[in-house]
Amino acid sequence: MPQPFRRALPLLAICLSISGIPASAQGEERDYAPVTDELIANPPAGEWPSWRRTLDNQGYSPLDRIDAQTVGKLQLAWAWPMADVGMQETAPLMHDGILFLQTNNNIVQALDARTGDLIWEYRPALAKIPAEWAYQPYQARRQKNSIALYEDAVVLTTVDARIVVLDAKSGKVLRETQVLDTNKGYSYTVGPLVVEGKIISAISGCSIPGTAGGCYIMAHDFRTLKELWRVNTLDDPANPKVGESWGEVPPGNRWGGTPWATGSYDPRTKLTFWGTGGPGPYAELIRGSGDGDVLYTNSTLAIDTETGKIKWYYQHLPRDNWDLDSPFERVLVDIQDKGKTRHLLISVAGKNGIFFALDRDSGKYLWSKDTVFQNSVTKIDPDGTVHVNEELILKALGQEVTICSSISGGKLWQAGAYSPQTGQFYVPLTEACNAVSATQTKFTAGGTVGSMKFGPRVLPEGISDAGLVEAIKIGTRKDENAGWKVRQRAIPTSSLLTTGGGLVIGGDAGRYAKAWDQKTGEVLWQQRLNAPIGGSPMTYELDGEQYLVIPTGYSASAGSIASAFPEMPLPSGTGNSIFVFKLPRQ
Amino acid sequence: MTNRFKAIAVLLAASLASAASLGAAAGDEGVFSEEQAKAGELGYASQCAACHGAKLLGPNAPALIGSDVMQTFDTVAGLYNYIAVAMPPQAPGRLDEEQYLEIVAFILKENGARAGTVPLRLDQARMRQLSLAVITHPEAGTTPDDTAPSATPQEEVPQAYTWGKKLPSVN
Repeated sequence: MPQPFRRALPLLAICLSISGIPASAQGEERDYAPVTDELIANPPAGEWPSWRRTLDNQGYSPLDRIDAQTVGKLQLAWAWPMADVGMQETAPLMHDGILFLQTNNNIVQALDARTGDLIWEYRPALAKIPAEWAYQPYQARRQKNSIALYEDAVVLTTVDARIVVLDAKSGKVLRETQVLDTNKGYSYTVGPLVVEGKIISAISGCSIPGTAGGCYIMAHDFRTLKELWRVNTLDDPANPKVGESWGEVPPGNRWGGTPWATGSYDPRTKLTFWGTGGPGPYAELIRGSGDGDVLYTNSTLAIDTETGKIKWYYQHLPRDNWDLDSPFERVLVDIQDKGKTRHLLISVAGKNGIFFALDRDSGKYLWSKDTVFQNSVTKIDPDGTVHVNEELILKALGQEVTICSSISGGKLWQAGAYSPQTGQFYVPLTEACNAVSATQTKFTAGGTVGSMKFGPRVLPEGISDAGLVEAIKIGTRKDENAGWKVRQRAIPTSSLLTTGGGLVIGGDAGRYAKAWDQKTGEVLWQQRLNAPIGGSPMTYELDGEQYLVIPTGYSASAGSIASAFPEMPLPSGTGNSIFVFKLPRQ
Repeated sequence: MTNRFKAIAVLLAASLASAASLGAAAGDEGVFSEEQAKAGELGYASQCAACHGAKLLGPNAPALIGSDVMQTFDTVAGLYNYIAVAMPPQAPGRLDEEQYLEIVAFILKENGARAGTVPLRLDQARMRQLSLAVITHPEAGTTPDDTAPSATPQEEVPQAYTWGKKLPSVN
């Protein structure tokens, strides 16, 4: 361990020991029902205990008091400012009347879900890094998208690469462990999932030079925080295809494969499913990997949670040359087909917006379809082999090509949601392209290994609406005639939520929270708020009342393509907040 | 500029021999005026600092200082053409051309580029010829010194597999 970091640890420990601050009157502790494996697997209808509510990552709540008829009557119940500025990608959770809200720099707040009163707040002391390592803190602030609830605890993963377990009733630190070395560039930007006593987490920072050769999905014991297993997305001695796919490039010169979104879990098979990002450097010209596929980048990995072994993998974008990461939410859906239950994994896996349906037990490719305009993939064979557009592969320094989608998507971290009512998957998308060219860059500590110059995001030719919400009908085969597309000028900037009330709920860069009809895409309700809608809207029910939580705030996604809808200027203030709506009492 | 950045610059320039002659000349002359950079400082403070930070190091938007940042934007044209279309998010592409040039001049200065007597002009052909990596480290182009001590062990930072190799180039 480097000296500066070692010296910082005792101080850190002192700070952590005092960082849970109870805010309740007289410090009283309220009752709190432990979060069991059974509850996580099958949550009460009124609760939202995990990132996408259930570990299949569907983002669906069965609550139906707010529906097509009532949504227009929504009123503001309460609002709350977040505890820190910065990119706003929060995913609030609700269990037993407490709303858990994580914001940037791993500040966690417990709020009374009925009233919005603060119960406790946790502010960690984070390890310092040199100011000139500027890319690292910028990157590490991304996608603070979730925490996990398990038993009496809140489990969070931190920007300085620790796992911290808090007492859910007080916010006090119960235990913690330093997982990887933040001075190399490692950080956690997505939350863990906790199943059957295992904390399953995935590290970020794998595009920072010091992390060369190692990017990990890991399991730790919930009680002891001892590491149980790890999977390296950049190297796998058990699979010779991985080494071959990098050509001459040894592990020490490989980057990327970052699992940028929390995985899903199937208790039936005990498999966990994670997506990975693209390789670094972005262009094979700089990477040195020739025409290799660079495994396991831009892939889905199905990992046995008992053993940590990869059961199968599927690569959604081999030979990435344009920073078109494919790490986004892997959603598990069971459907009936010819009298049999089929177990699917569905995902708009990557920035290029291509939808994939796989058999999640075998990894077998079923079908795919384009959503936004894209030119990175020319063809996908019936066996799932993906062919990239070789005309757009950079062959020389100074050469420039225009790739669609852009580095900002297409699809980005904003999660889609599935509705069992319609059998449709709803996805927030952006129409965009950008010019790219490769640069020969000397890496510096805390910097980036991308080595690519990007032009500004521009609309694809002939398209004037940057925003797209698409409904995709899920089955074992593609149904071209089903689903819908709703286009609009401003891009969607939040995850989507589906409800038993037949609604799809999300919002956009123009500051509109919206509810669409799941069946038709008709806008049934909209409410303009203070900042781009962000994070992951969610819903819960208490005392017979359904609440709807809409996060807002600073949106890097919106900023990246604001030139496509200049008639709706973005606010220069950040305004990170949550707005909580409910129906009037009858 | 910190000593550490200077040390990086020296090592960097030594490895960019192909671009050094043009860049050294440009660095000696300066590609923007002091007045332009001063005006750009005010423009940056009002239009950019809220996200990119008072010290141009973020963290709510990417850093605009650093040898890797400069190498990534590649040329003055690369930097200008991005900013003049996409920035600032509250008014993308809507500042005056002169103000964009001033802000670019300020960013160049903060990265170590020397001011000259002639202001930066919107001349795409010329801007494409100006390598950011070289003009932001003008001393390196004239006095390359591989043996300069580094404030931090930059040599331990892993590099791309192709680093140091001559790659095909259209220029």
